[in-house]
Amino acid sequence: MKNDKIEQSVKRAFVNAAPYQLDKVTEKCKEQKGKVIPLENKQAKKSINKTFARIAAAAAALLLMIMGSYAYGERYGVASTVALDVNPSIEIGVNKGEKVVYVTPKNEDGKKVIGDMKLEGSDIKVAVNALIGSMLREGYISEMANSILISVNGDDAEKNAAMQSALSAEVTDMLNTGSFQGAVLSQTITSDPETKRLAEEYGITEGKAQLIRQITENNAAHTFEELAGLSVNELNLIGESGTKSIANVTSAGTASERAYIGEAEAKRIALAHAGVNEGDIYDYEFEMDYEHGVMIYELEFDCAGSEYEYDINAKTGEIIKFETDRRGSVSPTPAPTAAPDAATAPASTPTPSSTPKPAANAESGYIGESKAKQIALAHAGVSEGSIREFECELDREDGIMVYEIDFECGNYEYEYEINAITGEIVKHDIEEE
Amino acid sequence: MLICLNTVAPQSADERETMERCIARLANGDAAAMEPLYNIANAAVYAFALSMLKNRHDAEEAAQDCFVKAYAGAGTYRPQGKPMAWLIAITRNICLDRLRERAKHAHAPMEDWESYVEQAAVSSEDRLVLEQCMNALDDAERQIVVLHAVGGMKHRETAHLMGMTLTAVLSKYSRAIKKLKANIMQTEGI
Repeated sequence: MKNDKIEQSVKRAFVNAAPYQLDKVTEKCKEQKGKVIPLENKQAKKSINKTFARIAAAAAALLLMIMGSYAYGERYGVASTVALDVNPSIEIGVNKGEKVVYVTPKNEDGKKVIGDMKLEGSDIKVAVNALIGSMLREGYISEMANSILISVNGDDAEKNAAMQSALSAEVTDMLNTGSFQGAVLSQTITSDPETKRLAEEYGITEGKAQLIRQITENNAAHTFEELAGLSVNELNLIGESGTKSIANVTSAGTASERAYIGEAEAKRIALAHAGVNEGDIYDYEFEMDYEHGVMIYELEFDCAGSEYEYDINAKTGEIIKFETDRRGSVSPTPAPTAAPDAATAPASTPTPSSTPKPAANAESGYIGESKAKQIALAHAGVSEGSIREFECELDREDGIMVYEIDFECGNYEYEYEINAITGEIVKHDIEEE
Repeated sequence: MLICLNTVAPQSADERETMERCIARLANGDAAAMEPLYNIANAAVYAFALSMLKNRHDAEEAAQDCFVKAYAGAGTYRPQGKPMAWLIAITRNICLDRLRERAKHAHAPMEDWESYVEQAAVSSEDRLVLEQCMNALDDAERQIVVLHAVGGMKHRETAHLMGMTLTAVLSKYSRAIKKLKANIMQTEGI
């Protein structure tokens, strides 16, 4: 039985086993639509809320009379909170009249930004203006990192949305009058116990926690923990680069990439390493991401029947990871939309003359895949023509860059790790299939 | 042996385009676009949910929820030629939530995929293949095989989705197909 028959059998079995539930799906979609609260209900809810509000207000007035103004301290009258996140994180409590009730730093940088400013009692716009001005002076917002996140939280959704929009416009105007363009992300947030818990655990605002949760939901490869330490500019770059937009976040401007080498340079490095020409590649994809503890460019492309994947340090241009699969199907004129059909290719090893060979990367000082392969084959005492399922991956192991090489020959599976700089065999293993 | 890595043609460009058009129509509130989208993607979504949850009832519900969420979130989809990967990512999140719930309440339901045999459309050969996929493969192997063979996803799309390296996906895929081949041939007495 051939492999493609196995795959076809798997497909057929699952297709036949899958129940047809379109009716149920349609019904659930309708139900979901029905869950949207019509305006009249909202108003009814509001009037109930108003009744409670009146009672609460009367009770509060009574309490005030009893206890005097002391008991209310700085949190009295807070109708909504506005959080500013750059890397400094600051939370501002605002009363119904949009006057600042309190300003609290959420991290050390936030403390530095607030300094000895006394913003209580001032208009929220004035306070935000003063805080952004301080962030600019302290260098937290610059042409290298120009993103800011504004999150508004409160019970009145309409008012929150209006405040979000007004503050976003204010900050955008403020940042764009300088020597660079700012990128302003804004959102209204809904209190959620899990978001609150995460915000407290990581010492960030609920707004930033909500943004990170959305990014991790869009991309399962990320964890909250690894993103929590990133600045809003870095989160913005990851969010912009993802295939899905971040729901409920309004974005104005583009996150700065000035601190990084840029896509063109990253592409040049990858193509030079792969030893292929730009004109020969297809299905090219590019994404900025955060992996291995640094901001990276992820580049993927196909060339002559092989898939290539690179992770390149976005600041230094170092190739952090390189992977390719050699299927042995060489397509001299690959169609841009059709994936190479390896089924029609002869089941032989790649022809060295027609398979692109990644060249040694002079910039990184790595020996290159070809040399690594040569070392492994020589050690195994097998010829290139006799091996199957050759795979090579550049990866970091125990702090050193190695080529991880796997292949099969006869009834044996070979695994090698070869120091990418010295060519030394770090590890090798042979197993009978 | 080299050719085993890509013997099922990835999803056709036509299908991808149709799916993207459907998602755009759903985003505009055109509920009629659900049917063509469902017809293309249902088997892959269900198969992937089953491969994660290993329970027929849960997989059925997860597959329904995936399409309901896709309907609600169609406006957030950016057309980049990966509609299947988008639906599978939604399914994966739903399944992960369910698995977390199971872990919290410590009442994992029985793995009851065997009840497929009640369905008329499932032949004895299908049953054998399902048995091997569900029993002989580990979770990651099964999910990788399903995404490629049923969903027509590229290996690197799978690698992204599952947070694995391309090499790891290729290696697991190759191993899984070998296992299936050996077991099916043995069972059939070939």
